[in-house]
Amino acid sequence: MSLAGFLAQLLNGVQYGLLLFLIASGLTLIFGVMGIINLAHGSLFMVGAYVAFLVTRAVGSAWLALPLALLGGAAFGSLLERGLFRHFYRRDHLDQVLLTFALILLFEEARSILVGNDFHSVAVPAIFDFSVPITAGFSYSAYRFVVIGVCLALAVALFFWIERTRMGAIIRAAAEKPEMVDVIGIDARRVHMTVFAVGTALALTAGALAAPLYSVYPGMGDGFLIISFVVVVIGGLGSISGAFWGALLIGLVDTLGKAYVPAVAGLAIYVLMAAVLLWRPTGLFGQRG
Amino acid sequence: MTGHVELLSAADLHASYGTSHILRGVTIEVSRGETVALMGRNGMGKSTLIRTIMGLVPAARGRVTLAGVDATRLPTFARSQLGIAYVPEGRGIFGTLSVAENLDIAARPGPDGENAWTINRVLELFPRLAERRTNRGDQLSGGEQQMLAIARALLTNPRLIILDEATEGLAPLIREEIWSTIRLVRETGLAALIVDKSVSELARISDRVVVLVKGEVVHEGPPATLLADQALMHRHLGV
Ligand SMILES: Nc1ncnc2c1ncn2[C@@H]1O[C@H](COP(=O)(O)OP(=O)(O)O)[C@@H](O)[C@H]1O
Ligand SMILES: [Mg+2]
Repeated sequence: MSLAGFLAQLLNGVQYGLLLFLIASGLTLIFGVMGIINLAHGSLFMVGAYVAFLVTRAVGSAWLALPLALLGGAAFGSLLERGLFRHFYRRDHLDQVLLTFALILLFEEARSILVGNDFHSVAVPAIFDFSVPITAGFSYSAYRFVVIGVCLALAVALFFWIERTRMGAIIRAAAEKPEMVDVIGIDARRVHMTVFAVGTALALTAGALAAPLYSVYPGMGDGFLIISFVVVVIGGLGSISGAFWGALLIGLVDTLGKAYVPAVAGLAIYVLMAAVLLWRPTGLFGQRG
Repeated sequence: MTGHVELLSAADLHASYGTSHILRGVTIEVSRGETVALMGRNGMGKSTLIRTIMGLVPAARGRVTLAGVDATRLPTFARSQLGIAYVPEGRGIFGTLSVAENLDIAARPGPDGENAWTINRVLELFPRLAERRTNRGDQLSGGEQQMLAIARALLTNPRLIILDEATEGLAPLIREEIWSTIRLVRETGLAALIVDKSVSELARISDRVVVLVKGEVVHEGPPATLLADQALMHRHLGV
């Protein structure tokens, strides 16, 4: 295969990995702080993708879907946390699994009623519908560059927020010793709502960015949810940097695997997960013990 | 004399872990500016009493009043906001946060808007913490962690500080340093409820002692009375 082809696959892998990061970071953050594994996180991604589809159908371009997914996602996440998840933090894991599984069914049913069960492609926003020439024989989709750029910008913002701000420090403290956050006078409910809002906003944004690349279809969140789990496990439960490197690793292995060794590519990421766990049972960036 | 403005008043408190009934009707009070020592052998319910006062263990019966507010049903953070700081057994610092972050997230004006304790001021009180500002909490020595826990509690500008075994597991010199800090803080007029193994230090520092046996108060009074009662000291404190 040509060098140009390899470069294109490499960029595809990075783009896919960064998109996975947007989903996995919310998943791992919500698990790290609230201890809940949100099975419906993939459905939130689907909601974002359908928002892009509906916005495109209404106004002709998916552009507007991005701010809508980000802000609407944050508002929607706050509501979900307040109305539902908040009441399940102290319940046992089975109750939590049932809640989030029921949400998957609800979201799918709502999708079916509101937009039907057809497969829809979503047009790339016209201003980015061209290829960027890289070398003489190689050009690359401008929209994929946009996806890479937006994901990177959000990743940097997320890292800055978590690592450098007071709210970020409170979130890390809550993931470590929730009780002591209350003891120093901080209302943990506000922290939980914020974390859930951000996780949901990122998942919806990932969906909105993904729609022109992967189309929208029933159950589209499931595959992304499972791969995001692999990312979270490889990176270490609760670790944002782990999710970042895990997502890039999975994005590259999956994409390059499918391009060069399609016969075994479907298995590659699971083999990788098993290998990482054998080597480091708590994941690449997981806390030990 | 500080008068009898009660900051903390727990009345007829009962609490259980599952089926084991730990607190059996405890009544305890701390007034403004007062230092109260809570004594009793291991497992007598001192920590449980404090955790119930903070709302970390539910009260099965009884009433907790903090700064004149009925706090029996309030969540822990709201009790903290009424001006009650709690330094738990085991210190409870955030090991994954830097020293500066541990302090920063706790810092706020007190319930009356007073801001006597600022980050600069606690760092003057604990110069070692100033040197360790960028270190993670879990990189500190036991003594430094204890200083951080106390500093963090002071930064909430409380009216009352509750210290549970603050000198536990520390070297004698560090222990002395913690005691002199507690004395200093006490001189600022901050009320304190203190649990510690050292009866002599507690007797020296406190206005009043309360002795707990199996979740019940068996003795209460000025430290001199306790020290004079050899039988009581031996039976309930093992000294
Ligand atoms: N989380 C818990 N679950 C069950 N029992 C507990 C728990 N914490 C403490 N206890 C029990 O409650 C009793 C009182 O403990 P504690 O309040 O820690 O005593 P103290 O602080 O006076 O040493 C002990 O018998 C102890 O074993
Ligand atoms: Mg104790």
